[in-house]
Amino acid sequence: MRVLTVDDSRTILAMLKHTLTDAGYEVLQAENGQQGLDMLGQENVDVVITDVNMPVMDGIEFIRQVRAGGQHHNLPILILTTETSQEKRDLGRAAGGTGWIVKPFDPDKLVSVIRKVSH
Amino acid sequence: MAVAMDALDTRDSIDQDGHVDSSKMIQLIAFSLDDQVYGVEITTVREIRAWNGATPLPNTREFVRGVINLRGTIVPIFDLRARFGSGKTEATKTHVVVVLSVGDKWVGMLVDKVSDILTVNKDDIHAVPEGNSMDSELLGGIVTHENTMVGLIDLENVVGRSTEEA
Amino acid sequence: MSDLDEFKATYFDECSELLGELEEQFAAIEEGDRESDRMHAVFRAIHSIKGGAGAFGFQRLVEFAHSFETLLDYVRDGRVELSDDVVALCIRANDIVADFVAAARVEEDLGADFGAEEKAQFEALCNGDAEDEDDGPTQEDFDEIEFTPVMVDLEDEPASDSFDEAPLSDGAAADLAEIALETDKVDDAARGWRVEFTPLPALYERANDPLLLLRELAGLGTSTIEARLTELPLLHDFEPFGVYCSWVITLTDTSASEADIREVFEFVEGDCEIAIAAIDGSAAAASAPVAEAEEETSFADLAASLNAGAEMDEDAISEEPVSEDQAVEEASAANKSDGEPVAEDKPAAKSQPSFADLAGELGVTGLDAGDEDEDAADAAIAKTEAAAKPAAAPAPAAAGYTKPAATETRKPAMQSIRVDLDKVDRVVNMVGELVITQSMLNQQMDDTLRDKYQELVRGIEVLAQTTRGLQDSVMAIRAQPVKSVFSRMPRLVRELSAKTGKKIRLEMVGENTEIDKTVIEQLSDPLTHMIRNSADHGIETIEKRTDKGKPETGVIKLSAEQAGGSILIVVEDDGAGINRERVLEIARERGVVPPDTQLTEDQIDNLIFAPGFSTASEVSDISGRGVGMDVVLSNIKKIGGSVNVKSRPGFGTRMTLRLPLTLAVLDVMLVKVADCHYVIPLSSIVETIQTSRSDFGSVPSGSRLLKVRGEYVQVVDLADRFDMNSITDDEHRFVVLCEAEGGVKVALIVDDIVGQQQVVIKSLEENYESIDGIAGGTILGDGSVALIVDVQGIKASPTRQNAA
Repeated sequence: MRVLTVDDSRTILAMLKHTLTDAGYEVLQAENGQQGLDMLGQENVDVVITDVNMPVMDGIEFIRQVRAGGQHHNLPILILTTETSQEKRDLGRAAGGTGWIVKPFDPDKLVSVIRKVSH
Repeated sequence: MAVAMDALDTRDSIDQDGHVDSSKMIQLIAFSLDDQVYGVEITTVREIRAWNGATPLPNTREFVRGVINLRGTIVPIFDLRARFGSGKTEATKTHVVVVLSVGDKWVGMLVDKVSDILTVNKDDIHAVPEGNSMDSELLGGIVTHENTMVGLIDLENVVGRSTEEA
Repeated sequence: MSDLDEFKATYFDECSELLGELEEQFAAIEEGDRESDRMHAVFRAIHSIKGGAGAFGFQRLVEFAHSFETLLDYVRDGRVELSDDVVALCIRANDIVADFVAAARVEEDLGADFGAEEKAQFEALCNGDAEDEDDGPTQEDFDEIEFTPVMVDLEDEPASDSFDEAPLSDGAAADLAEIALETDKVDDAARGWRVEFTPLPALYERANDPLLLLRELAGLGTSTIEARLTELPLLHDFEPFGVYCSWVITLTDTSASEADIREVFEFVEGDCEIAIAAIDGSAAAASAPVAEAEEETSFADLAASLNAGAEMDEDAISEEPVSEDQAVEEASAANKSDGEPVAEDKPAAKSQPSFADLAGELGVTGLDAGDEDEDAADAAIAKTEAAAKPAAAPAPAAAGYTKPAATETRKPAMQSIRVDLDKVDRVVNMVGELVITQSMLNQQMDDTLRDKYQELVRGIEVLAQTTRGLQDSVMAIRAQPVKSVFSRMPRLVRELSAKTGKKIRLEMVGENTEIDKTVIEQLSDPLTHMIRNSADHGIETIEKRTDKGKPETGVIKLSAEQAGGSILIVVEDDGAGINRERVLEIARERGVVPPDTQLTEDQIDNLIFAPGFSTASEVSDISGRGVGMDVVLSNIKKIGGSVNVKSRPGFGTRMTLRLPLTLAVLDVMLVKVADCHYVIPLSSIVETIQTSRSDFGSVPSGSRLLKVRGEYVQVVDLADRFDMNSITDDEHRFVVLCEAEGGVKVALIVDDIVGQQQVVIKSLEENYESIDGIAGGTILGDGSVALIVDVQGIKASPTRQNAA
């Protein structure tokens, strides 16, 4: 299983990688939506976790472009958000996000959410 | 390393009942200055090399012979004889530098020759008798091996700054 | 280091980058650049700081950053005007965030009041704005208004922003919570659950998979899953992406509450229909057909109860749990889906058109009408899709900030990787060694060799070029813009300005000039001192400036530029300049300069860097922290740089730092003293003279002076200085005239000059200790060690520590 993590924060990327690697996932990293898209074009990915607020291309636009591409309509995309309000989730879902994870994430919860949306 | 491994002597590690208590045994690299044998714990030894000169350091401690290049890092060489107050070693190619790690630093120790690897029981190590303060400072203990007295070098004190200012 | 510590280290690293970026953005904003990208960048930076802080539980930082972020959010979408006051508040807030970060790093508590004032101001600004705003519904309004047709406007008004949506969701969530409370009462009695699950197309569009949901649901207890395929069309009507299947899950032997079941469907809420009904002991035992029968009978009830909506009373729930739950759930789902009012007074008639209307109005809700009428169901789905789309569309369009992001995507993204600095350092060191080996090879080349082995010579020449290229490329990897240090200075100047009551503006030029990272790290302290000095001693008070006819605001200009193999960092102020009389007086008082010595103006100016010198007659809070400008000099010296100061009384002072581009390789002159090799940094050498041609004099103390071009220079015989015996006649030795910092010259006498070369600096302290008069060591081509002469430290007579 390969998880693509997209976040402009090195801290969050590092923590995601640590948690996911421990859980037996292979982790790919991108620092913004554009890099994420580029990576999806080159690599096989089973699940995507993306931040919302990012430079160059934000998470919402990233999700929209992934879905618009047509090749990844079955790819589960989880939105990583600090927002406690539903606003960002709704935006992400509207763009085609599969589910969400609220930061700061609990490692167990993170893994269970990934299991929930992936085979 | 030029030391013959068959010199390893395990007899000391066997107590009266014939049992070996390995946790009490330590291995020493033994080297000599004139006729006196000294030892350091083998775990502190990084390398043994022949004396090949050193770049003298100005304005520093007299028993520091200088510095050498050890694979790209600069390592100071302490003249152990001079450190013990017995005058500067007339070093030749047959003299030996024992490179040791002391704390997070590597230092070289100029000695006459490396003689043996000894295995001794920690219980057999005696304290240095009171008397000459230099002895008790520079030696961490004394152990007898095959009727020879071996002085255990207290590396921190030999290399450290604080002692010789006292 | 534990994982957590490592993450923290990463986080603090990242924070300093982000804080630097914030400084930079606000500096531009303060200058009047109100480009919206800047606000977005600022928002993102604070957001990232907050995100990480949350992960580590830095609660105070999270709270402050959250309020700050809220304000920034209001600012970037125009709800709060970015007035000068707000900019000033934001800049202050930056400093506070920086302090919170610093406090978190050392696990210090800044006290409950820290930042409280600013936090209150953020909140006042945001709330105040909400009340004053008349061109749109406010946050508060939404909390009270539930599901009014207002929300329909959202779709007609693409300009309205995304935040208008939030209150609605909140409202809906609150509503749901109430319902959950009521149904919880039912939970206790429940022995099992009957879940009807009908995915809508949106569920698949978001890559959710019913199979996974059913799997998870099955994990909660013993489940019987029945698929309903009644909606499957004939093959020629079959749409590949059509949604035709739904499921009924009967869950028994479970301790799951309704909330647990809802959690399974958390991500697909609104993308499917879910009806959850408790089954009591007997019902749970009953077979599926019974349950289905129940469902069928309940439809009429459901339709009829739509009007009642969420107002159902508890009695009704206890009597007919199945239908009520459905009704309540679906009513609320309908409310939530796109804000359209629940259809009122529409009879749940079986006539096709009206049913379709109803289903359409309900948006994503749709009713499980499959059993009743297939066509109607299809229509409902079709409508549902149509309704779902406009609901989804306005949200992204409304979020104005996604637009610039979208246009930026056309730029090719810069590819980068992160590499451990240690790895780069290793390469830098090895390349350094390579460069030296290569220059050694070059030196070995004599004319005989050149004639004999032309191919070899050509090869070595190519090697030389490649090596140089490699060195430049490797250095470029470690090079960083000075921005990372410069960006800390605006805050310093603000603080200095506040403390001194002077008006000071900081201008920065050349922030993108790149220097080796190791040099940059050493730059912060000296720069801070120099700017402090300018603010404290250079810039005059407002009154003094006015008296002199200068503008009230003093200017400190900080600039960086590359000049050949060096980087010049200049700190220049338009203040009073150095008071030379006073400087000389103090220097004499403190014994820095012997009495009656005549010094040039430049020499006097440079006295401010002399050890033990400080011009502040009273110890000021700013510069007088027990260290003076001599710290600048010693820090800069340490990295092989130099400092120079030029002053024009009444017009200002200009301090110039000259720094090497890199610390790795040093150009040196190789000399011999008593048969030992020493190296002298080329940058400090003025000239070399044979002793036989030199003009020496001596002073009563016995020390010698060299007369060179009308100037008397102190002579240091390295053999004497290093306590070695020179084996060369005095006549055949050499004078190496060096210029130390501050323009002070010193004449070093050596036995022989061997040549010039490049060396890699090695530390003596790594395994030993620092040695007076020696700046470090280096390894020559033959593997031996040569010592680097400390031209700065050589002037003073040796402090013979232990050399007996």
